[in-house]
Amino acid sequence: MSKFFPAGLKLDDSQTPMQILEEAMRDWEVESAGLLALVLQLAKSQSGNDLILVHGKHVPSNRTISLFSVVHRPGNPYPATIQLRQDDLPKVLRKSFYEEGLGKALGIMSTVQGRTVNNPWVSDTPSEFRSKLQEAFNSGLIKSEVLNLVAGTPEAVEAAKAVEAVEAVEDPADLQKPQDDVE
Amino acid sequence: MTRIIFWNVNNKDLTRLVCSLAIATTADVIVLNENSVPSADSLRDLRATVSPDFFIPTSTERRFHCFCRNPRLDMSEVHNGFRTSVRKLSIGTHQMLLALVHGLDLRNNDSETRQSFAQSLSTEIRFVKDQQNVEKVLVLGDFNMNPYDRGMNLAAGLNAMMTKECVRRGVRRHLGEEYDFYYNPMWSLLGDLTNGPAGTVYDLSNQGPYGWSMLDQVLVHHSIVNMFEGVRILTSAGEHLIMDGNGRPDSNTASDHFPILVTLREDVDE
Repeated sequence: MSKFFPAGLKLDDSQTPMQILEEAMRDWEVESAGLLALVLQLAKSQSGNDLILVHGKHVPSNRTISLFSVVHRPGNPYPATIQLRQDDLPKVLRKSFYEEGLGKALGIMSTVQGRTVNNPWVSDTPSEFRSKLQEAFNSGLIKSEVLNLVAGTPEAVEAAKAVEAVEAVEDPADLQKPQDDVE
Repeated sequence: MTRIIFWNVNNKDLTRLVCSLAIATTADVIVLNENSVPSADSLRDLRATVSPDFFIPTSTERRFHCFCRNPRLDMSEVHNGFRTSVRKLSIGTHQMLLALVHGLDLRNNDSETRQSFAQSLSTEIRFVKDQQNVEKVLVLGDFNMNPYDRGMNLAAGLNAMMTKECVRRGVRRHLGEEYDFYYNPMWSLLGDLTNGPAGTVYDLSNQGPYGWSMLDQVLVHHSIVNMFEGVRILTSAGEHLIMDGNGRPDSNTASDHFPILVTLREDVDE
């Protein structure tokens, strides 16, 4: 077994963030039965890096929402970082949030001394990017924003009616009848 | 005429003043930013004291509280973005987009970061124009930038120019790309040689080195400059003054921002 080849580096997996996002686009189309689409927009960041803006789209109404962006250097797909949209939810609507302690008051001390800041959204390899991309799509913020995009549309109202109809049939009282008949 | 008010109410309950503004200006659309009052409560008061026609256009964005009294204007949201909400706006035969903006605040974001925001906002507006297949755009809000800040006038930023003549040629090329021009009429309202106040915000701290700032602005896409009738900075809400004795926004009784009133003509040919 090699001691010196970079661990976790798979040469047969060299998908770029763009190719992985295109895979995500196909996933969204299939899973939502064409109701939702991911739209990718290419741009340049202020510092000249390549920027992929990822938008969600409710296809029937053509309404869109900006979900997050992916940044990497031009010509170098890795490292790539995912920049999530800012979470403006009030504390009462968050499942968890960070509460400032005394550390903030002492924060200036740590700034003077210098500190390591970790960016958990940076990926060095395709597999790492896939995993973080899944994490981003599964964040509560993105889930709720995507649901908000669909909620209230005529399609959502129809779907809700269909669910109500199914639930009405599945009422325990209704389910009891066939059993009675069997008896 | 279509009248649109934008006001950053600084997280205060200014519903009474908002209703007075609506009556005094006969505003068709009122957009409140940083409104701590539930929008349903504001709507109830607008309906009770101004007009029962007011409604809240459909939206998933919570940053802007929008109230509209004319259903023909539509105002439904087509895009929820990074500190933006883009609405359909239908004026006469013109279909356009109204992009509402709340820029990154000055206290926590340096000028580089705010410039970067302007660039991403511009990219986002291009995306929505493309998706909706609409060319005409009005960008309105608290940009937390002045008309002369780089993000407002860089080609890849908001590309907003000082005069109507500047935007007549429609686009400018930069590094092989074409960028649509916007007309920024707020330039004409800067300083004390104008009829109104010198800006929309007064601040002498290190975030406001010029004293007055014009953080609340409207940008008019070059294709609808002829529909633009005017913009005014409002210093009173009906009989109630919202400025102090020095002519600055009275943050004790109102907001630290003055509202702006944008007027558009609808009798303009396509």
